[in-house]
Amino acid sequence: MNAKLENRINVFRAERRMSQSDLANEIGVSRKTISTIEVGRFVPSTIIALKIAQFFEVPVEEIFSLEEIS
Amino acid sequence: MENQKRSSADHADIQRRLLSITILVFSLIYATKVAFYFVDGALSEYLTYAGYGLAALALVMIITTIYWKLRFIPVNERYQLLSSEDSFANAMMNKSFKHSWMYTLLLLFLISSLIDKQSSTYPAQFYIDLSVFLMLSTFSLSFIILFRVENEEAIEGEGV
Repeated sequence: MNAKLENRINVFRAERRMSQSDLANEIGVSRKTISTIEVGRFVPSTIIALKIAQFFEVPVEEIFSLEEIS
Repeated sequence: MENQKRSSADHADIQRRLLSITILVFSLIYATKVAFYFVDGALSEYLTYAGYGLAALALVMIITTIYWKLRFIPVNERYQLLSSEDSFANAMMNKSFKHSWMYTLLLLFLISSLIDKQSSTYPAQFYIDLSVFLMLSTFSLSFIILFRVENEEAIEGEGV
């Protein structure tokens, strides 16, 4: 099974009126890292995924999900 | 972003880009060394000057890269920011190292299988310079391409 990691980071950011830079500073990564995760170009490490979920105070599955690719 | 203060992580990304450009300049120095085997006369003289110019540029780039690291990345964050795979820049850097290793190995296999020690037109130094050129240029170009902004829309401004 091929799968792609989908994420809803931009939705959570929009709800909190945060920029990519704001989130990057909170997580301790660069803005480039956040932007590439958002567009699915970079698959984050478990640590970064958990940090993002912790920051938004939601389970990690609410932000990241697997989408099956045929 | 331009109006905001850059974080240490953003500075680490810039330091990675500087490092890749420094390595690209070094690759060009080796390219001139390789080119020496194919030219003579006036062109050879131009290559010598080009080599001096590139060496000076390489020195400036090394100093800038080291300065950036020491000035903008705090000591206690250095290991995390420059070594961990959590950063996109570091992940792309590791990927570029893999590309570089792969193509250099391929070239060495080709040299080893196609060039006869006795009948080779060029000395061993030529093949060493050629391999180093390929290794450095593949790494730096690979990193520059992988790191480029692919989708400008993804890089949002402030205020969402």
